[in-house]
Amino acid sequence: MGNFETLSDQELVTAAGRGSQAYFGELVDRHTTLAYRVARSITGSHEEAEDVVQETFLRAFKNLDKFDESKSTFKTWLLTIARNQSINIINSLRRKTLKFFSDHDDDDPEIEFSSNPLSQQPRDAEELLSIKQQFYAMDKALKKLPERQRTALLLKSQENMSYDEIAAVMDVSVSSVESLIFRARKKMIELVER
Amino acid sequence: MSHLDYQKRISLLQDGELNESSARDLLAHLTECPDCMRVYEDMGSLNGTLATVKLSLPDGSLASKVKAGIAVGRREFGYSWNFVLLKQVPVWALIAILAVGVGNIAGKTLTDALSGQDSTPKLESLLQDNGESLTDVVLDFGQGENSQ
Repeated sequence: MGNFETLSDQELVTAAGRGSQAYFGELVDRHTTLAYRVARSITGSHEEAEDVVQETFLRAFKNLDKFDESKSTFKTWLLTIARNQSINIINSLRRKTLKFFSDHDDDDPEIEFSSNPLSQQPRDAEELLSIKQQFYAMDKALKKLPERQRTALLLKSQENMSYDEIAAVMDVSVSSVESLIFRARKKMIELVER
Repeated sequence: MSHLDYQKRISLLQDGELNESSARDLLAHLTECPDCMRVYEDMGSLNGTLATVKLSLPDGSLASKVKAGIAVGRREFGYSWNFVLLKQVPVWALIAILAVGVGNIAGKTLTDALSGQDSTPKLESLLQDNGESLTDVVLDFGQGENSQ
């Protein structure tokens, strides 16, 4: 398995297309977290997001022969599937008149401290509380954004994807991505300051 | 240019999506406009926090679940594909037989039925119209050869 790590996504796709499930497994390892975050940002639910990720990879595996590397990267293609699956689930839930997004204030924000070496570990209980409150406020604010703004902002700020890539995933123009991210940031600043 | 336009450019600048000349204009504006400078600082702070917060992490076992799901799905997919092939071949064979049968009933060949044209006049125009069919001509020709 160790050798797979040196291969590019495209090389893995080609090998997986010849029927090797092990190569596809490496793609799963690489992109599960990202697909989950996109699904979670849209569905707002851990369980739904996990279902979306499973369905997304299954569809990707079945349709690997339809992936065209000249049109997009594997990551972009996969996230497009994940986003469409998430939206399908949301629409399905809405049809069933189920509430998809909980605004309960007592929900766990499900935030973890970054593994980024630049981020400092809290020195004492007071600092820990302060950081938790800041992250909690961030999570709450994100949940209040419209889905498209939240997805665009998270793909940029968490995954550092280019505007072109985000536009491809969300099936919108680059200028729409600019607008979505700008409005998301303005709204976030407003919400966090409150 | 309005302050709102400059603030849109702040967002682009912080994402590395602003061209050099626009970035120079923006930075010159920021030195003169405290409102836009505050937006610049607020967005920078927000981006820094968002980048370091790990929101929505999946369970560690999710990738394993996905792989197991694919292994099961692959078997099911393989079965269903074979099933589709087995089901489809007889259907196409039946369609072909029906097409030939219908063509014969209508007195036309399959080519005529499919093209919507009657090819018989073209063939017959090549022969002399002396009341004989093509079969008669061929048989006569054969009889002539045998009698020689």
